[in-house]
Amino acid sequence: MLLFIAGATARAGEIAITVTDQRGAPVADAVVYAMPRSGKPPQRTQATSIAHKNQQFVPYVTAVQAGTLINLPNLDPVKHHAYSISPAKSFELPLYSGTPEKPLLFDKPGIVSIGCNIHDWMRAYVYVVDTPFFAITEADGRAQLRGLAAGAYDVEVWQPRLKGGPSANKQQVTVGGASAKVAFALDLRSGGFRPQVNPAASNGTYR
Amino acid sequence: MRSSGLHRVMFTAALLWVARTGANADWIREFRAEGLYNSNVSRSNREEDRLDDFAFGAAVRFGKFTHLDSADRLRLTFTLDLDSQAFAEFDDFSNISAGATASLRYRFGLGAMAPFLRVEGGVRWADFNDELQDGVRSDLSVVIGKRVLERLELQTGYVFDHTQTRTSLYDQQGHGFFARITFDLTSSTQLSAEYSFRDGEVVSYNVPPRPDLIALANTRLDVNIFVTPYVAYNLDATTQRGAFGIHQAITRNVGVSLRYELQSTTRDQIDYTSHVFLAAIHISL
Repeated sequence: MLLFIAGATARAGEIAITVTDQRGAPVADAVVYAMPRSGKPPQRTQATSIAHKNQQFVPYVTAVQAGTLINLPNLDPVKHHAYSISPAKSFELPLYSGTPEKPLLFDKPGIVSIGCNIHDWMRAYVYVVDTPFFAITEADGRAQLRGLAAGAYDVEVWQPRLKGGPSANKQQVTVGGASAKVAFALDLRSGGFRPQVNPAASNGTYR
Repeated sequence: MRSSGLHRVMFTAALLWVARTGANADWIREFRAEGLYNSNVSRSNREEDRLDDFAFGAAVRFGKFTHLDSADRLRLTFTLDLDSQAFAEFDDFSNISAGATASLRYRFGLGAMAPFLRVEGGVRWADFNDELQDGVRSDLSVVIGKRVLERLELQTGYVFDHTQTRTSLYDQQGHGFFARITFDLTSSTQLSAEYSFRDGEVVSYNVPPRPDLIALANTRLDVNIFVTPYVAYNLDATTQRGAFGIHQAITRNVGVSLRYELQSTTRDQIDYTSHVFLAAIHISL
């Protein structure tokens, strides 16, 4: 939900973004990104990785520009089996240790949900965007987009618990002489549910 | 101690399996300590005969699972199981048991939402303070399950159980089915509800004279488990059980659970009910 746009004309190259939920609490793991309203955004991909560590994916949320290579190294002493059935990137890395020889190419914008077929509570998200201007909010709900050329941008936000699509929260901002500020107040699904291992689970930790 | 050939073979196989280090395996190291209250530990149908008791228990599961294909659709799990229960008042029910459990699970697809089929068998030797109850307990189950929503999982299955003891009084066999629903209330809190139905032999303790039970019993025996003389009756009966639980993860290795069970057993005009409350702490390493 749009709250406000402050400093729509700002110092060249930067947008400071704050993301909160419907109660005003800061929201972490929100992907914020800026799309130029005219012209094609530059291509600045940089390979990255999502690790299996202590039977969790680290990080939980990753943002990349379309065309980025991502590897999924397994840092655990047990094997993992990463997979995705998301339309934006479908893959399967059956039972492996160490680092896969070939990283995966994420070339289609969209949301990619990654799981482990062995450890059902493991989950990660990759948000693939068509722009190099993206960032992920920290625990304080803040993020900074840097390196933008002067001009008009659509700024959008996505988070795993977001109700509706990122376009519903689109804001327009002009990057100029000073730092621009954008605030989002998101309508998130309640509960903050994120699967995790429960040693007391009645249906067994491993089924 | 008396032991069956099946028991020895399975226990040895489990030992060898667990000892063997496999690159495809995940270890299972689980400990549980629990306290329970049973409102009708004597399983009596007359109110004046019913006796309640508290028990403290501990359990250890040690084993591992391994993936039998490259995609972990087929998974084999072996655990060595050690259980004990100490009753506060009626010590003849106190026991320690050791055994093994094996299960084979096939998942029809990829990921947590895929349905699965699991066949599981377990056998264990139970040593009671009351030697007559000593014997081999074995069970076999076939379970199907499916996570229908991100937070909601359904399981149902068939269970066969068999107990072979020193006396025909405590020899029991039953068939049953169960349905279980689990709901992840939050990331760390799970709720569960379960219903089960069992058709088979049960042992009910009652103060004599009970000509009605004598007419129905497969066998009976005078016992000194309780303060006053009781007679134990082995009966064919049906048992229905409803259970609700809340299961809380404290850390990724420690959790606690609370559970309530209502057990109702019926044979002709005779029935008895038990309320069981259980609190447990779980450690998984």
